[in-house]
Amino acid sequence: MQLDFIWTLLISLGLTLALELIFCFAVGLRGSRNLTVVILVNILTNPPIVLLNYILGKTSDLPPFLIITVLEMSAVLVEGLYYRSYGENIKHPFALSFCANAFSFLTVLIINHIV
Amino acid sequence: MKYISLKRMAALAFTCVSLVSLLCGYALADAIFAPEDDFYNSHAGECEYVNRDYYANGESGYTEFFTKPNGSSLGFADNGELFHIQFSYKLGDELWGLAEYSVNGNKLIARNGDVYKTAWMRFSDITPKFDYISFDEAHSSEYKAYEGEYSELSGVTNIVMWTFPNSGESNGTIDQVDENFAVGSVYTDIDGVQWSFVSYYYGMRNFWICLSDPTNTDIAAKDVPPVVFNTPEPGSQPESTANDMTTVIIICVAAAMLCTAFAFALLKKKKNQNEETK
Repeated sequence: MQLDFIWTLLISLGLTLALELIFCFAVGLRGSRNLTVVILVNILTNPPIVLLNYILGKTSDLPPFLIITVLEMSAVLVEGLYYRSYGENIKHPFALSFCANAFSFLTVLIINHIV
Repeated sequence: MKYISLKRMAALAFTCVSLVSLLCGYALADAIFAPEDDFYNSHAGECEYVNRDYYANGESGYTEFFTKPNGSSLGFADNGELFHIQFSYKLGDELWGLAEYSVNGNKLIARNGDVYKTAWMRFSDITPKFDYISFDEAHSSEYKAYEGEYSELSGVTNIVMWTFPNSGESNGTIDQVDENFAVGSVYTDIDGVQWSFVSYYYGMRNFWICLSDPTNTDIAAKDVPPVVFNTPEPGSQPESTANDMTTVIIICVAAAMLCTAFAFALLKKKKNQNEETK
């Protein structure tokens, strides 16, 4: 792995942050504290997921779909836990986490398909 | 994953250029096939066309493949495996070659079917297969100009195309020659057999024909210089020479996670203070 992989991590994080912030704002999440939590949970989960996906893809024989599914579900779980613990008045933290991740994941899939 | 593939961007750009070319009625004959390689796509203008076969021949007994010049290691090929180098790229003082390869177990092998990838390797780790260019380098001083009128080939069918004189390796046959056929140099071998070089004939490039016996498919290889391959030490395993930054990147990610955890701790503290003041 070369140092330019850092760029991959930064682009992935930037895109995910933009999409999940748009989603959370669209579903009515407000307040600087909640939006800070959205940013922090993504910094916490996105880089390790992109890194693990790369390493597992290179070093294991597991199917890519399985690797992505397990990693994304882990992200949903961790982000849900943080929304529940640190968010303010988030009624359904795990549903929010699942939907935000699904939105960003599917949006990028669509962008990839179009491009 | 949550990032856009560079390949897809390149594919879009290529499609746009193709469409524009078609709309403008502009096309290039004998186009060079561009490999699907991210580094090549972003440095095509700095790459040189090679189009020659090379044997893997690394000093350690193995040849290492990389994602790009000085990039990450992709694995190793055994010395003696033959690869087709399409392009070269000079990075500093080092020349790198781009080839297609397939994977067989944990070994990298020459492209096998439609499942293949591209990789870069150091020219210092590969040895060219003796071909028409090598022959030219060794024998060009012995060439003479052709002064006949192709009477040797008149009415002859199935003329064998050889990679170079006495190579023992042919690339098929020509049904018959017409007025567009022209030879360049003529080479007479030690047995007095005459050969002539053809640079182009209906899409076929850089081959030799035996003027003395144009239809003989059984001319055996003779005096082809052998390749000396480096062999690995008994029991040795290939060792990567790549400048691997995996540990540094893992540390960077771990540091980002630690900082985030610290930020969460501050948030928690602030929340607790707010609750106490209420």
